Amino acid sequence: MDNTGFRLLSKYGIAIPEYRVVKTPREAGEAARKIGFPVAMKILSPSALHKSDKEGVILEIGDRAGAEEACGALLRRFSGEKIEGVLVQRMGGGGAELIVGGKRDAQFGQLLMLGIGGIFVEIYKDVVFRVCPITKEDACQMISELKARKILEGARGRKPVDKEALASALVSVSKLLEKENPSEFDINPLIADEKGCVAVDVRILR
Amino acid sequence: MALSKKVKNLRAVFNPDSIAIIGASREPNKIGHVIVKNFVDGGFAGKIYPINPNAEEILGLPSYKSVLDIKGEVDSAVIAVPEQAVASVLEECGRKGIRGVVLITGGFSEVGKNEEEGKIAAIANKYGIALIGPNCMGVLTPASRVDSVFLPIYKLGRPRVGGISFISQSGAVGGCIVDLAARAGIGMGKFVSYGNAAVIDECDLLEYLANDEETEIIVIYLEGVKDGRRMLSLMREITKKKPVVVIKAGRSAAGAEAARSHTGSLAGASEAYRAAFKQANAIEAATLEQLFDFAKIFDQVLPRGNRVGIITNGGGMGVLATDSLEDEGLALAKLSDGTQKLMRLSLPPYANVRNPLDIIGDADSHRYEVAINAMMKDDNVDVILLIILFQTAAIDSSVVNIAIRASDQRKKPIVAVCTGGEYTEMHKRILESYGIPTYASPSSALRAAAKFVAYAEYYSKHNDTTCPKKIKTMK
Repeated sequence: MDNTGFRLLSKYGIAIPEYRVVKTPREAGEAARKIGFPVAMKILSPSALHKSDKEGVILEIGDRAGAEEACGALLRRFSGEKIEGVLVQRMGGGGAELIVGGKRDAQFGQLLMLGIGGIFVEIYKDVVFRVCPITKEDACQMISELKARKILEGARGRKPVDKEALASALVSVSKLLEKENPSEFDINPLIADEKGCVAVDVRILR
Repeated sequence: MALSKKVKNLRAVFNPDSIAIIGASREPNKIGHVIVKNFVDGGFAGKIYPINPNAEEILGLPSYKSVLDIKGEVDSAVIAVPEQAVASVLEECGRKGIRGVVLITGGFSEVGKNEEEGKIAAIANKYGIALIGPNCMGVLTPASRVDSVFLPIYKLGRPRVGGISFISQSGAVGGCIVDLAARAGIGMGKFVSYGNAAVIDECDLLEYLANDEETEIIVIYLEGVKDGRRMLSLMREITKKKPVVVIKAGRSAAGAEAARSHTGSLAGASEAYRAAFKQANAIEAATLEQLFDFAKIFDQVLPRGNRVGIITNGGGMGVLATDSLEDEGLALAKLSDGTQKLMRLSLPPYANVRNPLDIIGDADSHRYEVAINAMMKDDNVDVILLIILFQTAAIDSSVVNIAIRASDQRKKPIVAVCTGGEYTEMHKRILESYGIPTYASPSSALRAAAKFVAYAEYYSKHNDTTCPKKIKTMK
């Protein structure tokens, strides 16, 4: 994993959390303070792609000391492997957790997927697909086809998510998929709330 | 849409004035015999030329050694010779100027002989021949009695003339559907089993049928497509003018286990197809039963909205229908004052005049007539769900005529539900043969009606629908 994913998302206008790439615990503490707490940290290492996400990621880091400690722990965990750095990123507040993905299909080309995210994504399978490119109208239809769309409409006292922003993000991902043509692609999770949506993690397989 | 030469030449396949049957046989159990017999017995009005190097006469028709021996022009040919002989007879077809060929013979790419199939395709393409097959079951045009389906008429029924054209990748599935359509009284414009699609593929057929005036509804059985993007863009254009109902076989998630991402594992083999059908506004059927449930409902005027008026002679069926309405996103029409007043006068005093309109178990044909006509005139009703339980003592066959006369007004669609055995089935067939779709349950009827209503809404965005009308063919 490296930060090319985030750079690519930025290029297509998909919002990403504020982040810094650091090399040492000291830098990590400083970066976290500038970004604002809580932060998450991820090891940037090509060999970490095949490891479980958990080993390479530490979430909910609340202060500077914690940030330095977490960075040190990650560097120790992956010592002996090629490490490009540690990514420090802002952790958002609570929003709806979505998954937005892509897949190259032999007959139809790039497919775009939108689904309700979370750890049970592959069990509930509340996902919808479209063939790229999609229009804004297609995007709105995708959102309305989710079985759990009520989550986006403000369930349990939450504010409804900004569907306009979500639809725009989907159109942007469709453009990215058409241009970059990856074999598989995941934004997981994409956190959506009333102010917009942010791609918290991305995985691109060429 | 500018059509390519081979697509234009499909006209020779579906509506030829003359046809050569290459591999015609005198042996009654041979495919080459059955095809000649189907053309003769079916009443094909054009010229029929049996081709067989060893026969003088087949079924009373003079036989020729080669198509090149025929004096006049020949539009089309059916080839049912052994695979080694295909290339040379096809070459002769090209030299004769034959524009359409149905190649029944198998033994090509389906058994790994891709090179041989490539040679056949090259010959057809050299002459611009619209070649269907190889390894296909044939073509049916009920209106002009073109019938190269190699299954005997007494074994496989042929449907009446109608507006539904059916493209099938599978010969077996296609044959069963033709047989079932014939039995149910459903009309067909064209049927084609396209086999290995060496020259003419599903997209070419879609393109042809989009422009075919005999085709009002296109139904497709698909296992896979060669060019998904072309299919999507074609379908997108066609559905603006004609409904396309599709069933995609092969939903297994093969390949998904090899995925490395969440998206990869969630995108099974059928997801791309389902997405494409949605984007093209095609109507996807989940089962073979649904395929015809959906297709046949389109053979009438488009509904102007989603408000359903229900007429029933059985209260329970009305309740079931109301439940299904909600499930399908349709609305229960609020009957107008005029309808309510009229029905109060016509129904027994204990009847409850509301929608569903229960005209009670002792309803006779006359009571149905009053109710149907009232709903036809009622501006609050867009679709009439006509439930007729034929088991009651009071009902008789004349209710069928009443329904057909009402449907013939072409003001709004009627969807019939008749649940029962042989006596009921007989009446359903009559209704179907006059274009009133019939269903065995309110749920299946309303599922189809929901597809119809959604399509009508989409259609009206692209077409002038100020007065309700049948779907017009694409020009």
